[in-house]
Amino acid sequence: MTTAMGSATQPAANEPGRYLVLFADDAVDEGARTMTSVAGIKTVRGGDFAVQTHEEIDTDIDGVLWEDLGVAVVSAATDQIDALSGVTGSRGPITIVEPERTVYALALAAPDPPTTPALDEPYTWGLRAVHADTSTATGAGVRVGVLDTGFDVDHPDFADRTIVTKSFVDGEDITDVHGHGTHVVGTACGPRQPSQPPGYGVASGAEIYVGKVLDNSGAGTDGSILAGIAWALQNGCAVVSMSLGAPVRPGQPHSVTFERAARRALDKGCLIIAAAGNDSKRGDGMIAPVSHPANCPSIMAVGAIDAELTVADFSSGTVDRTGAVDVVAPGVDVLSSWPMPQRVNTISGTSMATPHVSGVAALSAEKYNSTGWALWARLTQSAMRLPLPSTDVGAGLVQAPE
Amino acid sequence: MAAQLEVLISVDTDEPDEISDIAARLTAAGLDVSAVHDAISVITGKADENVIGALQRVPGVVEVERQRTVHVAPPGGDVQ
Repeated sequence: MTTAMGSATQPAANEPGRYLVLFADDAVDEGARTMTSVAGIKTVRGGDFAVQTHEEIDTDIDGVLWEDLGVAVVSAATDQIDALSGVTGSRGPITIVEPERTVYALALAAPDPPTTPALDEPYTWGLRAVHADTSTATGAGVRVGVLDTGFDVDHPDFADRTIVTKSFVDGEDITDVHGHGTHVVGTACGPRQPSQPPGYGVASGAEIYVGKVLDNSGAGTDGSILAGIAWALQNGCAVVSMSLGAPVRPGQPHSVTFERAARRALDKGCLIIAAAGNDSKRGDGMIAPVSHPANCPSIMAVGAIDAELTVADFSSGTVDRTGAVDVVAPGVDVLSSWPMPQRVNTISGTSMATPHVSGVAALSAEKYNSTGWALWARLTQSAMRLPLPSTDVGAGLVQAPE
Repeated sequence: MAAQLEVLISVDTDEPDEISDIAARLTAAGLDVSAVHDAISVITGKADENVIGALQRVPGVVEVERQRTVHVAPPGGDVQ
């Protein structure tokens, strides 16, 4: 469908509008420099799975650039776009600039938070939604592997916990310079009664195995992820949580290697749970396919819902015959641990939904003494059905055992 | 010289001895082995683009794939 840019949606002269900038193949770096030099447009790299809240946004930044897609989404005035359009073409790094159809602004704050401020509650909305707050299971005796950007091993909320770590990133130790890994570990395995409420950890008694497979910038390779999976499996982890991924195109097949590795892991009692991805723009009617490697049938793919139990705008969906969203969990405005001295942070993404499922999986593994395929069945069978398309939410919202 | 590719190789066994044999055959076929993961039947490594077909034909090999890179947003980043 061609983009309708009628007078109703056309930004007034020089009013900022949102645009998509498509780069030529292998010309993303050059294209980014061109945007800055020709039109003064600055971008940050995106591509991923944590959506930062409205705090800490650099106001000099005009947009986000997805290197893997060769696309940037920018906020720019018409004179900037005119300047940029003057250099597009077959020879340069920028192929085309087009207006984005969107109904919300970059980093727009939620107008009315659907829940009372988290600090007034004993538990986060996420723990309450999956009923982890009332579960008698804690994941005791269950090993949970979290493959991410590392962990703040000195975090006071984890002072009395069993934590085993290993870095698969050359030249970087387990230290979580990024913050994403500490947040994900917190949701899966953090405390239900930290020194300062709210409680934010689902499997508060699980043994934590943290594999650093993403470097301090948040990037990682398939090779390091597979090494992390093999390590977690060898260490007897019943659950492996992966809040990571790479976008895929509709119709693109899943990885045979990851699928076979995941099946081997399931056969050996290890369930791999991964983020479905944040590439949808549902407000624009665009639903992106589930990312790699969550699109492998034998990896449980997790979508994100908000506190009103509606699908998050960014949450990827089931687009192809395979590559289904299997379950959903809280993934909007999720409070969890963050490297000290900040202690906690509230962010959104299917990265945040995934560890809710991993934590619930650990509780179920303890409660029913089930692993592998049996654990997969427990999670989907007990999920709370939602009156939403199965292509968006799979079996529904995961629920902790009583 | 052809470009070096980072590759993932799925093999049809999880027996360490058999995987070692496959890794040796892959090395002979031009793979620079980075890691062998018995538990998940995966071998990773680097190879010239022009030997990928030969790697695919090594007995025991199910699939040869190029490695991808995954990302999460930078700490101050915004995806939406």
